[in-house]
Amino acid sequence: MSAMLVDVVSVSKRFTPSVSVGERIAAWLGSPVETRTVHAVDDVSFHIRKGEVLGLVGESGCGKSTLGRVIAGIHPPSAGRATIDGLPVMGEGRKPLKTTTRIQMVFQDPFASLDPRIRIGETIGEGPLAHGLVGKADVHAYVAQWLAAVGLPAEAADRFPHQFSGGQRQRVAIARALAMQPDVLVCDEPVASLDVSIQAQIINLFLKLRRELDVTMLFISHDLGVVRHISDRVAIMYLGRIVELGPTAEIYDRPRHPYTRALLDSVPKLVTGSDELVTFKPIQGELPSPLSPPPGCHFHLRCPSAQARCRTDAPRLDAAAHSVSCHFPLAAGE
Amino acid sequence: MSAPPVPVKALADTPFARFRDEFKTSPVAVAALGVVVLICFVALIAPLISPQNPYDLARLVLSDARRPPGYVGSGGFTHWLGTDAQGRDVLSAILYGLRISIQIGLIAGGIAFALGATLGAFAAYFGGRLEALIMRIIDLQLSFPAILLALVLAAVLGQGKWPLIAALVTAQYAYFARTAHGAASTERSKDYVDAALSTPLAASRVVFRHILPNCLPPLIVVATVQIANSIALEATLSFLGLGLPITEPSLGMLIANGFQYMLSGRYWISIYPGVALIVLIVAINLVGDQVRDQLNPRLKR
Amino acid sequence: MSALLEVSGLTTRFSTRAGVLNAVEDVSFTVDAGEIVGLVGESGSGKSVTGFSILGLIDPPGRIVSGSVKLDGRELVGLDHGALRSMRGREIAMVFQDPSATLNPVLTIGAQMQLAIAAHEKLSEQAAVARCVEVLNTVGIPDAAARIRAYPHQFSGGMRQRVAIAIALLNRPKLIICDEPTTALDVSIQAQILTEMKSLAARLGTAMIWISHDLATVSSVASRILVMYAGRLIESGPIADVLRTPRHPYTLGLLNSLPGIAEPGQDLVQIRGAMPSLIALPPGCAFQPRCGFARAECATRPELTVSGARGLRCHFPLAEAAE
Repeated sequence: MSAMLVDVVSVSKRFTPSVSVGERIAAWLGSPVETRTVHAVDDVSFHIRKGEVLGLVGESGCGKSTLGRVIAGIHPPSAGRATIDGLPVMGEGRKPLKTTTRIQMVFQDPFASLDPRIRIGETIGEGPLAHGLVGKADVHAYVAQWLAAVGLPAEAADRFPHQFSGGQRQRVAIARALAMQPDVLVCDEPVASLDVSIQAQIINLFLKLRRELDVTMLFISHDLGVVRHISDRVAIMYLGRIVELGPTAEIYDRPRHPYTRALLDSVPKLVTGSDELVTFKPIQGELPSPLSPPPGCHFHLRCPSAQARCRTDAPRLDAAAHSVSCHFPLAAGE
Repeated sequence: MSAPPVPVKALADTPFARFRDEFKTSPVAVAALGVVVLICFVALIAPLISPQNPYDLARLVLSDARRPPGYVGSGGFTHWLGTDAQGRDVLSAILYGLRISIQIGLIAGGIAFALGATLGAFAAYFGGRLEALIMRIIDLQLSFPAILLALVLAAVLGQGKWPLIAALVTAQYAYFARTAHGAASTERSKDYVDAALSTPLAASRVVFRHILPNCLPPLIVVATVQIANSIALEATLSFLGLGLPITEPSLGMLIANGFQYMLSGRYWISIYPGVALIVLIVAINLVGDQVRDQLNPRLKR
Repeated sequence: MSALLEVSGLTTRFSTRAGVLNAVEDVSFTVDAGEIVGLVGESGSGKSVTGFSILGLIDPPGRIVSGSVKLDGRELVGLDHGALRSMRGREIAMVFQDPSATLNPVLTIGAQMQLAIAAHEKLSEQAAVARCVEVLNTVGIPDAAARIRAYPHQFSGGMRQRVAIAIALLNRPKLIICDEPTTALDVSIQAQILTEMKSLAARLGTAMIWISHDLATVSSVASRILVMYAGRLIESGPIADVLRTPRHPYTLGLLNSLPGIAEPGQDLVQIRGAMPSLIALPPGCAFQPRCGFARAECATRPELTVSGARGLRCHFPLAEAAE
């Protein structure tokens, strides 16, 4: 087992809408003020080993993007800490700032993650230039080198984002992150907005980068198929908490959390037998609002095997290699 | 609806070219822009084309004072728009007055733009208490009429070009700040700013290189309106005697000077500078309307 | 038995500043009563424009240049606006990807549904409300009698899509065109909607055209599949046959692009390049620049050939055994 690179310890992220002056006066006069805190990430701990790809799967609103941004040092956590090689990714202080360039991020929508008014050569080169990874004289060659790494010609540097297709833009966004020579790449749904044939090209690019550069990745996606293909280990997230974490094959073949099981059952599969009957076992009900998550286990409202204890007592992730956060985990083969 | 969602490569002309082509579809705006350019050009070359230097007191002859349009004065040339109470050629005075008005409007508008946009964008970028403080001050200021603020400041700072510009900037930067704050708050939440934060880049670079350039469209709209406003505001202050010194009359002061002769039938001293001022302001506003229609995404078809 | 919907030679173009955009080119297919047909393609393939063309929802600068769309033998292309409007909703309805774009945020869903009924039929208020409740029950909205007084924002995304489907069902249309109806939804909600739609089609006998980019979703609802590429229909047939033995290289490429076909960690078999611009399509077969099997003959345009239940537009179809 290789060394631990990124360590996430009891990270929580809450978003509280700022209280306006009017509301503050109202509160001061004795009126109850409704504070609607969103618990996007709720006491999450895990680690990423050097050189591995950790998949992070969950439905929309489960907090996976927020968790990715905390690890990438974009949002400071409300509690807990994220470290790389023992050093915090964000500084302390009233306005904490990102302290390291060793974690970079690739975003879902390549139409939004590239500044539309700036030539992509500058987009890729500005970070390395600002952090002294390359001198002013060599920046052109440096940018060309990273463009080549993602399969784009050197002339691309002189063009604007709108002159590229979606797949090409995502390549640019990956080059921008790689040019900082990071140890860890946080990829937030990097193929979700791409067409199937383009998606395959980008997945292959990630596989190639992994082989050639040995980057460690946190790969966030809602797409179970993509995550299975690319990840060594997978974490399943539900309503701000990680409910199951383990080696990819284990999770997909022998899920232990009822939510993981249900999620896997919900995915439409390619049906090629003419008389094959397509049946889903959809999860009952809907995702509860993260404004008022249910007490106890967050999944108990939709869980087929929920008991009285699940309604009051929040389970914790155990420490096994294939760990699960459930009072009544499924037995193998169930 | 996603039809037709095709990336059209051949359309890769610059945003400016697209803007220009669309601008051309409005004949009123094109005509107005022509008027603005013409006025600016005429004002620029005023010393070359005006028959007289109206600021050169030695050249003013008192016997030429208050003559009607068409009068041939002692200088040997025709006063096409008449003369004022000091014997100044009104046409020359208007040309020089336009020069001053446009100059002050542009300088004041430019400084207000830079100051307001920077304040608003930084407030949006940093958020928290700093944002609250800056934006409350700006809201407070916007609740006063600009003219009142400018009047007080002009009275306190005294006469002259720079005090006047300072007064105009103070009265107007808040509009830019609020617009920049709104646009920058939207940009702040976009992924490319998060990408810059994940690099990380310095705050000044994120604001000046990334956020502000993307806030330009609404700021340009405000700028066209505010330049017209600062010209009108300057004219108002000068009319009230709080603007430029009497030796360098701007349009407002020309109107004020002729005002007392209106009832005695010597209309030209006030009316012609007034007409020049109105034409300039209306033309800028017509251009501004078209720019706003084109840059406002809500009005896009 | 004649088909419910018969589309033949449908061609829709948009004139843009850069030139004429061939969104849909010579598309022909049929839909039988009660059948779910999947229409699959990537963005820019013309699948959505095909749906809009059937409904007559093409506005300038777009135009249906040629072809015919027959519903129960009645020609729809060339009908005036009034006739099209009375046909829409009553005979063909549409469900869109984003339900919040089709629901009016300031009206209760009951009011919107009653407006949709009133557009085609005069019903007493009681009868109309009864119909609304019945349809909402059909799509699986619990407590429908109370929920009709709720506003769209009081529903979750999945529930809103159910409401949109209920509105489409209100006037008991013969055909519903579903344009990526589950793309914006989470997998668990998508599974619920897919199950619901399948049983609806079976129960009510409503035919559906299911437009999607996702082969797996389509394969779990549709019985027949149409694959589009760059505005043209390139392969069609019973879904299991097409997915098991694709005969067009593009269909095979799409299938191979799916993770889950290859072993985890191995490179996916990707299609090189990107979809050509619909303004400057290559001559001949539109897929030829990306095709691994292209030969000189591919510079001429292949015609749609039909053999049995399957249609194909390719000079060098893959052998049956290419499994």
